[in-house]
Amino acid sequence: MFLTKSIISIVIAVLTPLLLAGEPVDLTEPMRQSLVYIEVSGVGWEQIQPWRQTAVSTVGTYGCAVGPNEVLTLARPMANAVSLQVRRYAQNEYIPAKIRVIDYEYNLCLIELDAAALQTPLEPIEFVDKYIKNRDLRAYWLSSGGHLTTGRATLDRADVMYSNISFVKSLQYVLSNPSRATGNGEVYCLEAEPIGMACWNSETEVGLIPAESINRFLQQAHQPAYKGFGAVGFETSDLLDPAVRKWLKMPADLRHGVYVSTVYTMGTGSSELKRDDVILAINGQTLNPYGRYLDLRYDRLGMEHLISREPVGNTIIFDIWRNGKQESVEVVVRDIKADKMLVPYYTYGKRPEYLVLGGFVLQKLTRDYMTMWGDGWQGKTPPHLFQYYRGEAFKPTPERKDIVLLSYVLPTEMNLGYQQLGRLVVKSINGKEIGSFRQVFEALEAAPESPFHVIEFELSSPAVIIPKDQLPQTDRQIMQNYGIRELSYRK
Amino acid sequence: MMHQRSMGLPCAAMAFILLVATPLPAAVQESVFEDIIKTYEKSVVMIMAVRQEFDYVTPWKKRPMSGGVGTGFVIDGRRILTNAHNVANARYIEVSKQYEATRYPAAVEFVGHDCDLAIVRVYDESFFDDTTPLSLGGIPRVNSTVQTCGFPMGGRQLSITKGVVSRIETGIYSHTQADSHVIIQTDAAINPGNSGGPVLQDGKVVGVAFQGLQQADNIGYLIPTTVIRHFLTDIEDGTYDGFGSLGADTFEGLHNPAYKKYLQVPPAVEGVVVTEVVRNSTAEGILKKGDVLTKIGDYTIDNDGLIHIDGLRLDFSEAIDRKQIGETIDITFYRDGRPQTATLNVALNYPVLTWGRLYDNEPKYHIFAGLTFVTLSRNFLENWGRNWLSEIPFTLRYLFFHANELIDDAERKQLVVLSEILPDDVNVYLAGFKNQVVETVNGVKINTLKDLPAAFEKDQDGYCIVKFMNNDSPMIIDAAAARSRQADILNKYQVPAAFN
Repeated sequence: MFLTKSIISIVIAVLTPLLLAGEPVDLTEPMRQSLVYIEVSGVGWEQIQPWRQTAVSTVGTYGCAVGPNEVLTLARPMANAVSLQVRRYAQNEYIPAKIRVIDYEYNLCLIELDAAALQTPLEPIEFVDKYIKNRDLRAYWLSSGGHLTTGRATLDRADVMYSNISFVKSLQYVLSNPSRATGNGEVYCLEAEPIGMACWNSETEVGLIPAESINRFLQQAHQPAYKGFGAVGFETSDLLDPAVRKWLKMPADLRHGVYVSTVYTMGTGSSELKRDDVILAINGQTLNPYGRYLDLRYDRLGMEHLISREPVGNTIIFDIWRNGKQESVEVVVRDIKADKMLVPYYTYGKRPEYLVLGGFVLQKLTRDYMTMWGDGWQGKTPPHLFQYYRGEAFKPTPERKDIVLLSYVLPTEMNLGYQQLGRLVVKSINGKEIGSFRQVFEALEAAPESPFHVIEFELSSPAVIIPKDQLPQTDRQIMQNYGIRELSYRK
Repeated sequence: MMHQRSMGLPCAAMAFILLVATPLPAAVQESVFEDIIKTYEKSVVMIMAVRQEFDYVTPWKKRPMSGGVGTGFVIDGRRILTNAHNVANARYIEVSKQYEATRYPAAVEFVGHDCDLAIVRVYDESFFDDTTPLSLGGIPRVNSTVQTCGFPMGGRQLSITKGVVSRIETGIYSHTQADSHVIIQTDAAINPGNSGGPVLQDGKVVGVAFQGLQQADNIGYLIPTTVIRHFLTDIEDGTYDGFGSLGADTFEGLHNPAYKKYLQVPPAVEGVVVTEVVRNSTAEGILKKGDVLTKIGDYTIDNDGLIHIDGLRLDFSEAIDRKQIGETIDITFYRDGRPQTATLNVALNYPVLTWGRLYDNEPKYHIFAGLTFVTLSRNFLENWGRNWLSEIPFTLRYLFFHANELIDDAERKQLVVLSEILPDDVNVYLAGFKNQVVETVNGVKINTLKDLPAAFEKDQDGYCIVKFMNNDSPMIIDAAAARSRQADILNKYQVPAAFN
């Protein structure tokens, strides 16, 4: 922090005359020891053959120093990372690094560089929580060729939106008219002050993770345990219709508030809210019928910001309308862990759990699995699978934690007749209801006296019958014929 | 592979004779063929139809008109047999012969969309004076030669092409996209305009040309005479009933010895496994999931779900296809290791939401406060365009594939969907409910479209409350305001009545 403040102070002192003259500020020189280029080598896991790793891929991204050997970058390129190599200005050698904290919901990642490999400490920068609409910003990054590179854009608005890698909506700045296609960890500065990190781009706009989110993340990342931030545990729909307000017994002069249409079993509000509640205000911020509030700095913002900015474990106050009267409810801020969802939204870096049993490939249903159907996968995925993602993903229960599916069948003599089956949701194995992937293994131990394993599926699918006495030989054949080293993997 | 449920049914027991053509020397064949053509050239006719489809979203309107040309041929009784798809949704039909300028107005007398056949009557009986009715033959042998007659690609002169029968099997009839019956494959060119034309062998009709494969060269299909005869027998009582179906889904998985053992079916016995029984079907209460169907009628079913019938290996649904609606068929099945027999009534056995495309079926609607409700159908879903199956709202897609399994209510006969909202002050905030399937109105279960008027008559403390499937949020309507706006809304959007 000392270094950071010193640098910023120096920069401001040096540039003050230029600012006064209205000249654009150029931070190329002072940024040299703060910006880095990161080469990320990643290996994922195939969804269709979950025992196989994907080919190694290498992507480049940008970052900036936030400590002498700490770099802030985006979370997205770090998914499936197995090796990080960092290049800094005027140092030819790559510097090994490792992930310290990653938050896919904020799309931020703190990596730690091998201090021994650094010739000199990095010069950290400090992000400044500043927002001036319509001001021109400058972007800085260290290119893959080691050049300090710049770009420009105009700060157009603040909005609460999904990051492109998560299910959580959080605050972002939207920049217009970018001179370069930034969106990969470039640092944007308002005059001499860094105010955010670019995280996406379109043809005409760039998204920026603002300083307030970055600083919140860094503050937690430096704690002994990273707790994360709140995720909304319910869905709302607008409450414009006077007939609905009247039906909810709301007084005619009570014209604000948004309707709670669905409550999840996870996330903020999941334990405290009920369907048909009307959220009038969160922490004193009045919500309009669209669920937006008037932010003093950003104008209208989605209420998700009031939750996603809060650390997990904090308490916030919801003023609600319930059963014809107004109440205040204390709500504990909770996050949503993707791997706890009924259908995990992402599985970055995680090896899929699977079981190959007599050629029948069983695995967990995930969003990543469904994206195998390609562009427009939502309309192409078998609907009995997609309905679990669409309506139930955030509603796991103690009885139903995973959706286990028969993905397909690896043909062998033992599974003759079944080889066209696939994409079926497992209902029970040996008579035991399957509510989690773990239960698959437990159920296979059930009914030891039976000569068969019996797998039953949802909807009108046939039962699969596996003769236990043929399994050992069949499994050996499967491993040999299809090159599978391990017939199962579970956490 | 799961066995697809056939929407159609078998025909009256019709012991048809397989026509075996005796090969003749080539020159003799040519001369015989020319004689045949001379005899029948006035009997193969061009059918022109002006069609207008119904609008399944706002049913009081109709779609733009379009025209089409097909072929038909004269059969006994001064009738013309053609494809249903030539005259589907027709508003005007005329028939003409080659070498004659006269056009003869005509009308559809019977139509079987599930078998793609229709009977057309010409108003002027003199039309038939110089025609010779074509007679029906049997099923041609594979590798035998057939002649296709018709008016392809808009020509006004009869076109005759030769081809070879290359395959006879059970296949999908593309007119409805859902029904399957026996089809005969030939390499004779079958192009647009050929549809409905006779395919001849030895002077007899052995099929009606009806569809082709776009992605292949010279693969065309004929409707065999077994299907044609079923249709003609069916209409003898003045009504077309259609083809029946088993009323159950089956799975061809008994190739697996362990599965067979588990189901306690003797090793030498073959058959198919019942995986689902259609609600309200004639199989309900007789068959159940896990039964193994081994015999249907006089035919034993093999593990591929096929039967040997008249020298052919066809889907077991062919045994039902040879029965008429209202007849019975005996079945044998294994349950808990014991063979059982039962008699099924042959019926349409349609599920609550059929896969087939509808024709000549005026959609019903009901409007309340500008909210337009219709019955969910494939035609409604096809309004989403070419890629409708992937672009329709999720719940509709889910229902389209799995309605029979998802709707556990025998009373539910139709799915009612909010198809359109005619904008008005009273419904301005309700757009989010469009295309959703109605569960209840004012607490009344909506099992058919006819349940709506009475349900909307009630209200709950001054509100009409509509609940939809897969949606936790109810639609709330101010009942008094809605009723007061009804007439004005109908007038504003020129809707002739609140329902039809």
